[in-house]
Amino acid sequence: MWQKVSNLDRRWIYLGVAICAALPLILEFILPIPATPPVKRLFDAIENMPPGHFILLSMDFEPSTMPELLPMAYAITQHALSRGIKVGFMTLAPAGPGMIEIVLEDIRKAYPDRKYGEDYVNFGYKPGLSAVILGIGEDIHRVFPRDAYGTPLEDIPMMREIHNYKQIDLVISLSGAGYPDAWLLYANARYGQAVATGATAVMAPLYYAYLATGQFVGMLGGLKGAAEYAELVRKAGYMRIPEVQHRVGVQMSSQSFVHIYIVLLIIVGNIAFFFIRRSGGR
Amino acid sequence: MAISHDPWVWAAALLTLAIYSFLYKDNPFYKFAEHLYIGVSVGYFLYFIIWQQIVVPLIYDPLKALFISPFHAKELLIIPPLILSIMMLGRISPRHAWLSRWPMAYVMGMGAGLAIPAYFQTNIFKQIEGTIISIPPATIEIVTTYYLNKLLVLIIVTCVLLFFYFSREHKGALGKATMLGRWFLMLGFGAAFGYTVMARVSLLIGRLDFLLHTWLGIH
Amino acid sequence: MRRRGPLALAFIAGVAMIIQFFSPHPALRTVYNEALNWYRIISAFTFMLGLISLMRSHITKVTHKRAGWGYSIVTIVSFIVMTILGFAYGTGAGTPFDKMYEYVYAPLGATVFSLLAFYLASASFRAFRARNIDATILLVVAIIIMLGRVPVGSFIKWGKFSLPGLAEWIMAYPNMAAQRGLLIGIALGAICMSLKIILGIERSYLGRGE
Repeated sequence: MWQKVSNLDRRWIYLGVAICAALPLILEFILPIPATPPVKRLFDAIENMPPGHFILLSMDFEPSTMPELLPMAYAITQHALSRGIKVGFMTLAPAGPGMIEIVLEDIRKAYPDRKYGEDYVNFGYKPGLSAVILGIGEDIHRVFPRDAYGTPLEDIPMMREIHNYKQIDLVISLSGAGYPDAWLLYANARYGQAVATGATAVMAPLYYAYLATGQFVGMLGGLKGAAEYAELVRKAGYMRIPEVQHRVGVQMSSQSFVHIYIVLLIIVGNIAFFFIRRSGGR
Repeated sequence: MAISHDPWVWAAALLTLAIYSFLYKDNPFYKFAEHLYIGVSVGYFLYFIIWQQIVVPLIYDPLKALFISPFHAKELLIIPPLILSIMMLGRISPRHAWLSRWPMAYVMGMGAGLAIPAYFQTNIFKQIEGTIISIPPATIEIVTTYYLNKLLVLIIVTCVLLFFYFSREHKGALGKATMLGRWFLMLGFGAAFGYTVMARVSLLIGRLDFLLHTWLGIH
Repeated sequence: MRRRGPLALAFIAGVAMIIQFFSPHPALRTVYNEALNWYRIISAFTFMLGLISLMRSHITKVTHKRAGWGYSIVTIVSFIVMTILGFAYGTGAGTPFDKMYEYVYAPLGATVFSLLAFYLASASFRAFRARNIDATILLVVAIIIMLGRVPVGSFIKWGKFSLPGLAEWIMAYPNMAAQRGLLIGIALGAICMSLKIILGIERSYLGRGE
């Protein structure tokens, strides 16, 4: 019997994953999501920032990781704009500009009281990675002579006073690849720029080392990090796009079910393994 | 239930299902969707990245400025990198591949030179400082627990670094330390595996949410 | 000269970048800024290489009618259509190019990566075995993290301790320390490789031939 269990066709396992993931999405229930210290640190950093200051939100991700990182972008943008903090959007990922546009489309509708060019600006994408990060440290106007829509930076009111990292209070890199490392290596090491990150869950375990030394001001790790931050933003009364936060909450419930399913698979697989080994099989 | 009437949403949904059909077995729908993805992404790269981000701002605009004021030093400085960039394309032809060595050497040399002090600062000095210097923050409630944790961190970091020291045979006291280092590495990999599962499952849930919520309107 | 010249250039560029990190001298800073600008321009051109190489392989497949050449036509046609849409209508919100990005490129990219969730589940069942102490540690920690980092984990408590609390402690201390050891090791390796490139010991980027 255990041999049959061990040789189960993987397509049944796939079906189990799909059912466990889909059911909570259909039933739509939300479980409590308390915030963890790394998330609270980033929230407090923005919460304690005086209005009128500037943060650079680098959405360094592509569509392949948008389920984890796009909700982070929504939550951070809403938090900052609600507090009167100016936001500069940019991306180091080639397919990242579309991700910025998805967020800005909803932000424009939810924040009619915030004006483009005065409260937020979109620099778009520039190739070069380390050269771009280092270039911003010297003169952001040289790296981005125009914004994503072709407007010269000197014609954008909020950019008249922003020239390099000295005027940028915080850089937040949302990424599923090594971009946060690059921001630390080049912006933080050379210019002392404060950096935080929203990373996919694949990268998050590595970044705890940077968090412990304070090199990262705070960190959102995976969809859970996004859900925690969104919950903090909602509780503080800054949430103007509640649908995103609701979807993330529902998705976390779905995540719970799938994780339980995978843990059960591991346990059953190991039980089968032990019984087969005991009976002298392979 | 309110199924979407947007043809683009239907296109996205059907392409998503075509990719998932691979889970049953390889089939022409999956292959079509896969090759469509490659073609669309290359087209995106060609127009948006190469034309809009490279050709226009880095070739056309500077050459136009150079044509307008040809003896201005700032505009003349664009010529060397443009020459090097065109030499990069020599890599396509085996006979002219040697031309690409110059720009590659520049990029590799620059990258290496920029990386050395950055890695020292970020990944070595700061990390060692974090391991050995311990001043509990004001918000720590139980100072002894803080110091015990810091001692544990010091032991683990030392054991892990010793594990990667291969100039001596791992036996005796070194052997025991490297065995501990291996166990602690397994602990780190276990945490990484747990998070990797979380990441991949999140991507799946995102797609299923699109299919169920946005396409089929089930809620 | 075909090899020595580029090696000398790599050496000069590398040493210059190391020196400028420590010097605030305005002249060096000007040189540094210009060098960075060159670096940005040249590294952007590497995109072109990848693109040309990819399309060349598909065109070759079609012209020689190799296995699967019909699908290569799909690639070539979709590439041409996407490019024409960009040149004809631009990339603004609501344009066909933008729609193709949002409803073809983005969903396909996200879906391809999401397939890994299924493979992970299957691999967990078939291959994740507690055969020895190392594997057992990995397995136990993975289970604690998988359950502790989802909302349902907060229902697993004993006294003052909870599974999410244990998971967070594992991430913040033992995991962090192990990752720190890896980070230091990787950094030492990266520095060695960078030095080898600057000193001309590592030459694989020059390719083969004279």
